[in-house]
Amino acid sequence: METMLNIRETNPVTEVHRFVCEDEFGAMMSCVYEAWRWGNRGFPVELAVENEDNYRLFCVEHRVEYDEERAKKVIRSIRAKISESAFQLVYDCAMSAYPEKVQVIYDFLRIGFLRGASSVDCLTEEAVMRIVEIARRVGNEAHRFIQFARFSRLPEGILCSLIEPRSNVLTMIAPHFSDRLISENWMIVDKKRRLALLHQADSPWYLRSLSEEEFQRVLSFDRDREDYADLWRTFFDHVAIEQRRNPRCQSNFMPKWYRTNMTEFRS
Amino acid sequence: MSERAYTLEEKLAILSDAAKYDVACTSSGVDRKGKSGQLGNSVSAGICHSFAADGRCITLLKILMTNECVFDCKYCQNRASNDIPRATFTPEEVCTLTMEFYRRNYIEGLFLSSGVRKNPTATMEQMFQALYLLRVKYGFRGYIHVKGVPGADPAVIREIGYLADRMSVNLELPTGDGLRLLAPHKTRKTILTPIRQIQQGIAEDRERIGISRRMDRAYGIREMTGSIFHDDNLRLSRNEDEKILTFGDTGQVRGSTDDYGINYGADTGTSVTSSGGLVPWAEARGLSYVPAGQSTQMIIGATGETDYQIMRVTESLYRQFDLKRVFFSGYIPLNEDAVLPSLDTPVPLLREHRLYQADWLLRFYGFRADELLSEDRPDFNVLVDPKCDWALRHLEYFPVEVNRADYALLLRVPGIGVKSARRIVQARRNGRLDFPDLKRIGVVLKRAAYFLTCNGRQMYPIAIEEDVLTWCLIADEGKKRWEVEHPGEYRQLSLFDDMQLTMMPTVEDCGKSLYGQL
Ligand code: SF4
Repeated sequence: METMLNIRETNPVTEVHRFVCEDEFGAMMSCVYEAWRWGNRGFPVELAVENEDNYRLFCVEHRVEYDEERAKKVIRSIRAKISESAFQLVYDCAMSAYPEKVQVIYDFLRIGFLRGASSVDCLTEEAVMRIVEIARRVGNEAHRFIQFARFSRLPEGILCSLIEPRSNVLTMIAPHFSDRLISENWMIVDKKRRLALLHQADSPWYLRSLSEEEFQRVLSFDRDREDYADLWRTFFDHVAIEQRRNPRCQSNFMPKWYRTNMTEFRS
Repeated sequence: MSERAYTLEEKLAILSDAAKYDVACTSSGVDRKGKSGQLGNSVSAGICHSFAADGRCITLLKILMTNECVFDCKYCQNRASNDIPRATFTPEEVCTLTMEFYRRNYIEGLFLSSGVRKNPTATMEQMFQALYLLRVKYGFRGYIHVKGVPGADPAVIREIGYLADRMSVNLELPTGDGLRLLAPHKTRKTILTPIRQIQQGIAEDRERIGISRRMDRAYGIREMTGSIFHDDNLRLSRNEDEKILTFGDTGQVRGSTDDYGINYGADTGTSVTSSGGLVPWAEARGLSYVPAGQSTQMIIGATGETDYQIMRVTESLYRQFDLKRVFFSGYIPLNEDAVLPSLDTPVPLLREHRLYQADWLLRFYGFRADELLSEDRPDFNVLVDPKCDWALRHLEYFPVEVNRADYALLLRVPGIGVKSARRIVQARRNGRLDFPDLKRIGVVLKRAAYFLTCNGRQMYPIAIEEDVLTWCLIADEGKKRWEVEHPGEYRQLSLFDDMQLTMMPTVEDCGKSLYGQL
C-alpha cells in the first residue's frame, strides 16, 4: 500500500528512481521486484547495491529491504518463465563484486521475461552478453578456489580454510567440497565477508556469519605450523625442475593475489 | 649405497625429487562421486591445485615408492650406477601422505611410480600394497595414476589396474635402437607387453559396463575419413604400425611379431594377449579397470630420432594401443655418459612444444603424421607451428569460405580451434557469418584472416602466396617462440596473448590452453 502511494505522489516521469538494497541475494531479488513495478508504470529506474561510493544526487532513492515473499516470487518466475540456466546466470552475477550487478540482472530480466528460455543464447544483446560475461568470471573465480583453497587442521580437529575471494563464492564451491570431504568436519571462512561455510561430517553444509569472537579464534590459529604444511612445502619445492624454471607460466596460471592464503607460498 | 633411516620429510624430499621428471600431471578422465565414510571424489575435467616454479601444474602427489633401482637406464638419476641417497616409503607412509594432503586440498590424488627394487614384480607388489591399503582400507576415492614396471608379472599388472584410474608404462625412447643403447634392461617387448595387457583389460571392462571397447575421442574425429581414429585407417595401418613400434629405427626386422607379444586378431582390439582373467576382490567391490585410460611418455632428444619418426610412433600408439595420451619429455641431462648428450645440452623446449602441438593436431584436428612431416621433411619448422606450416604447404585448399566449409576443413584453418569450429557450424545455421561474428566466436583473426573468406570476401587484400603469408605469420609467431625457448625470462608479451586465454586450464593438463587455438 505504501509503495502505491509513493507512485502517485512522484509524478515527473523524467526523474530517475533508484532502488538500493543490501548486498545479499534475497534483498537483490526483492529489489528487482520493486523496481520492476515502477518500471512497468513507465518510470525510469536504476538499481544498485548499497555502497557509500555510489551515492547519487538527483534521483529519488528507494531503499528496499529483503522481503521473502517477493524474493521467492522473482526466483520462481525466473525459473519457470525463463529457465534454470537463466537463474544460474542471475545467481552467479549476484555473487560478483561488480558494483552495477543488480542493474545488470534487471536489464537481463527485462529481455528474459520478454523472450523466455531462448534469451540466454541472444549473445548479440548487450544486456545478455554482460550478464554472461560477469557470470563467467565469477564461475572462473569459484573454480580457482576449488583449486587453491587450502585447509589446515585446527586443534579441535576441524579442517579450516581461509580465503579472500573477490566474489562471494562460498555457496558456489560448497557442493564440490561437501562431496569431496563428505565425512569430514570442515569450514571455509571468507575473511573479507566474515562468512563461514560449515560442514559437519555426513550432514548438509550451511552458511552463517561468524561472531567477532569466533572470527578472531579462527584467525589466531597458526596454520603454518602444521606438520603437513611443512611436508607440503617440501614436496612443492622439490617437484619443480630447475632446468625448466618458468616463473611467467607460473604466474599466468596462478596470479599472485591468490597466493596469500596458499600453504606453499607461506613460510 | 644402503639406506639409512630417513624421516618422513627427508624421504619425501628424495622421492619427489626423483619422481619429478615424469611428465604426466593430470587427474582427468573419470567422474566419481564422494561416498559417506570414505574420502574424496574425482572430477572428469581434472583439477590443478598449484603450479610449481617450472610452470607445470601440480595435481597429484607425484612420488616414487623407492628410488633404489637395479636397472641402469643411462639417462636416469636413479640408475644403479649412480651413488645417491636412496630411500623407500612404506605403504602406510604413502597412504598417510596422500590422505592428509588430499584433506587439505593440496592434491587431487596420487601418482605413484618406482625404481626397480630387487625385480619388477617385487617392486609392483609393493606399489600394489600401498594402493590396496589406500583404496580399500582407507577408502580413498581421489585419483590414482600408477606406473607399470616393464617386466613385472602380468598378474600384478592385472590386479593393480583395479586400484588405479590411469596407468602408464613408459615407452622411454621413440625407437628400439634407442632403448638398446640407453636402457639396456628394457626392451620393446617388455614395454609393449604390459601396454597391450592394460589395453585389453580396459576394453573388456568397458564392454562389461556397456560402453564401447575403445576410448572416447574428440568430437567428430572418428567420422573424419583421414583421421587416425577412423576405423578404416586403424585396420589399414596395422602392419605398418606394428613395424614402427616393434622394430628399430632402421626399419629392419629384428624379430617376429610374436616375439613382442603383439599379435593382432581379426577384429579391432582383440589379440592373443589376454588381460589376465578375473580378479574376485575387485569385482566384488565393483571397481573399474583403469577407467581414465592409459598413457605413456618418451624422452625427446637423447637419441637421434627425427620428429617424423616420433610422430609416427605416436600415432601408431594411439591407433594400435588406444592410448589416451602420449607425452613427450624433453631430455634433461642429469648424468655424464659417453652415449648421452653432453651435460650442457639445453632442454629442447621448443621441439617438445612443437611435438605437443602436433599431438593435438592428431587427437583433435584429424591430422595424420604423414600430412605434417615426411622422410624428406622430417623435422618441424621452428618458425611456424605445425598447423600453419601445413596450411602454407597446401594453399590449394585456401581461402576457405566460412559459410560453406565442412567441420573437418574448418579445423584445418590456422587460427580456428576446436571450439571455434564447432561454434561456426552451429552459428551459421541461423544466418551468414561475417568477420565480426568470427571474432566474437573466438577465431584468432590475426592468423585466420589470410585463409578465410566470409561471403566471398577476404579481410585483407593479400594474395595467397606462400612467402608473403609465411612472412606475415612468422612475425606473429616469433615472440611466442622466443618465450618457449626462454622460459625463465620475463618479457612484456605473454605466451598466451595470442591464444586469448581467459580461463584457467582445467582439462587434461596445463598445456592444453597452449594448443587449443592452433
Ligand atoms: S628403471 Fe631405469 S628409468 Fe626407472 S628408475 Fe630405474 S634406472 Fe631410472
